[in-house]
Amino acid sequence: MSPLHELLGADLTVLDELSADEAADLFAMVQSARTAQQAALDDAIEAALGHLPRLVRVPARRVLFG
Amino acid sequence: MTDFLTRGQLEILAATLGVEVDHVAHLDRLGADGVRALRERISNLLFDEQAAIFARVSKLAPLTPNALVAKVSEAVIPPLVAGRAAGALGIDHQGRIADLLGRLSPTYMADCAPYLDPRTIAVLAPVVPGDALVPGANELLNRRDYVTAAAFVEYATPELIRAFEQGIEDDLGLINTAALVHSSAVLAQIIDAIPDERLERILAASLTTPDSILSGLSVLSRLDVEVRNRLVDLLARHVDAGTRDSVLQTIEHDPELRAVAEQVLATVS
Repeated sequence: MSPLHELLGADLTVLDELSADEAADLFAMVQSARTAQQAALDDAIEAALGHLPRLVRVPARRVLFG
Repeated sequence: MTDFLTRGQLEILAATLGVEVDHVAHLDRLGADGVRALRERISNLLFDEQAAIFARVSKLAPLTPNALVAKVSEAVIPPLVAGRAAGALGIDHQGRIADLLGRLSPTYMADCAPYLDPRTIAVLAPVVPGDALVPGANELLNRRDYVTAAAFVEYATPELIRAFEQGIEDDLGLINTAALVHSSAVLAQIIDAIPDERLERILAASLTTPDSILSGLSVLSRLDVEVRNRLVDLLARHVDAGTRDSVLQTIEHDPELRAVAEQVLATVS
């Protein structure tokens, strides 16, 4: 089973129509998208906290990060 | 030649992956349904693995009034993140959506729209008033982002369709969007919700450019015979010698639409 099958689910029949190279390329694209999304989310949360009024920022940080 | 719907699905897949469409264009052989299945699974993965953080962000709601959310969002939250988060937060705070949307610029709404979780659009469509969405929808059509517009229309209620029909003047945008709606059953429901007078205006506009002729014929070809015959009559009223030639040129490049084009031309009085 390819890494793409493992990631997206072997029941996704359309994956069987991909060549090994295509599956590897798509897997790399999905992994890049996941990494980029996580980084964008982390950056956005920090930026948003920085823009909140101080009175809100402290409790907000506590809600988000404990 | 890649068909209309497959091309649309490839564009959504590329947007989901954050790559240019060229990177996934070779997947056109999977067809619209295959690309859509792939895209849905990838999209679900991307959203589901952020569910925990979205749930924590959602708990900030009591601390952050809509005015503050709108201001901070437009200032520092990139559309990728705002769009991804919007669906989850919207479901948790449905009563705040209309007011919040009213505080966001149409530009920002349109920037964020491609990144919404399609599953949440389905849940939220019935609770969001049309007039809150019309400015963003108009902006999407101004940008000719018909693929994103079609993804929203896919889940629109009859009330939302009527709000769009009344609030959107861009007839070409509407026909190009309709042509990209994935489900033929949904397409039929959309047609059903629009008055004939407006349908005629939209169909007349479809004769404007080669692309819009393709869109119009593609929509007609996907409808049941009865509805198609009615719309063919409406379209045929606007076909003259010049547009007749354009229709014939269009089907030279796309022979799959020949049957419906010939029906239109045969109906011209």
